[in-house]
Amino acid sequence: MKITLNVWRQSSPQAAGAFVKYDVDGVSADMSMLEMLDVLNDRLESKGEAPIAFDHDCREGICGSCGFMINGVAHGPEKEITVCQTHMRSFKDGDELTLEPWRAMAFPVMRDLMVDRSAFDRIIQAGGYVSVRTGSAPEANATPVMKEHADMAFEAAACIGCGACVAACPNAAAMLFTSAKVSHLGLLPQGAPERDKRALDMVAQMDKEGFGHCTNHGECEAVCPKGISVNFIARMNRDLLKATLRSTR
Amino acid sequence: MSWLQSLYASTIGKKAVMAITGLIIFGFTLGHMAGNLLAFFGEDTFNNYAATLKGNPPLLWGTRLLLLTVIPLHFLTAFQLIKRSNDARPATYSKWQPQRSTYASRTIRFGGIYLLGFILYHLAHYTLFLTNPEFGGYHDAQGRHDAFRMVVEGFSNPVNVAVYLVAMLSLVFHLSHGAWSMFQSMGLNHPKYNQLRERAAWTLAIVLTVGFSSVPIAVLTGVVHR
Repeated sequence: MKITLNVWRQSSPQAAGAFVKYDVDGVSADMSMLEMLDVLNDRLESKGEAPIAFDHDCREGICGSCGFMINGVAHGPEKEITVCQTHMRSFKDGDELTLEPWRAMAFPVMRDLMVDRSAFDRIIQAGGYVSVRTGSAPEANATPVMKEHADMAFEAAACIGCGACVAACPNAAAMLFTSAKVSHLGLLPQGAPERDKRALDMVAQMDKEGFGHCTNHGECEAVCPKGISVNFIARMNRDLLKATLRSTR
Repeated sequence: MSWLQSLYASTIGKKAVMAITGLIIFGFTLGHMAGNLLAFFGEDTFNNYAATLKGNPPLLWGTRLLLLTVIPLHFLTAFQLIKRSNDARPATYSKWQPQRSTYASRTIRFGGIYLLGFILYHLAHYTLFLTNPEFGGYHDAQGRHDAFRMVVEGFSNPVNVAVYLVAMLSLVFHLSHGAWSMFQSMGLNHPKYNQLRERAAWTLAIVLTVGFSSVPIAVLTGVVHR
């Protein structure tokens, strides 16, 4: 099939970007979105043009490296999936697709469809850790964990940090990401000692990075490739307010 | 920075302020609407209600001081959050398709700005008598302030009624999102009660809007008259 692309091209973080139109012929419905871009990049390179830069790694939808907007939706039209797992069968012959990078002050565009998401790493560094006993391995069943809590912690831990929540949020908020990270450790006994400190520090770092606030639109949940629920945002709000009231800070 | 200042500086703290101030304003509007409905019971009941409120300075001024604190705080915090949101996304998308957000959630800030203008007009109209200085001089047979006559004359003007009805329409959308959103902002979320939160928000928003709108419509259509 034939697909027309409007791709955001920007040569460097400082350069002004613009959309460039490409007609891509001979697209197979079995190609993934990224494979289609690989084909286009081969053609561009053979003509001596710069290939379109985009982040990717596992191409299995589990690493969180890839992601951009397809026609105004983070990761494209399919639910609970990343762009690498979005296949061209989701589109039809003659479709025109607009590919645009995540847009947020805290996610500066590095080049074309690539953004710098190190703000997420700094949020993790601020509190995404637990204290562990070093030395011999403890007895595996020494710490009981409620089944419901284990399941919820697992759901939160499914976050791959792709940044789609920030991209889709009208306020460019990182609340879904941060709340998933705060919750997946906070729900487990192993993460309990730092629960208050974690909420305070990770939220402070999230605010410092310049992300917006939550207006409960639910756009983040709708585009999350792991289907993480906005219920975690409420949980983080509760953790932060409780931590503020009872901590000695 | 004190803990209270750092809480207010955080995005979550500001949303908690929005939720608490919003809840207080919401509570006041419910009481206000119930009072307004007394207009259907005629001049004597309505003027007696108005005189009772005016005759209880601790209640009257307590409520006024509370509202003079929380309403400006609600708007100030909202403007700070809107600025923060705009700063968080300096370059906007050429294309953006909403997936989950609602008309109410996307327009809550615009409805809020209309309501701010409306509150100022409403105060100038019926509390400070700036738009109609003669309202202050109306007295009924018992010598009480004739609030009933003021309401009937005020709402005999269709332009006035239109301004009020548009405000009430803004209120229904503002509250249908705001009244459940405040639970989320305060961290009050539970799978058993989440659906109830949204239904209660819509129900109360509609009750308020219908209740408030009924008086101007009743006056304009002659159902309530002197």
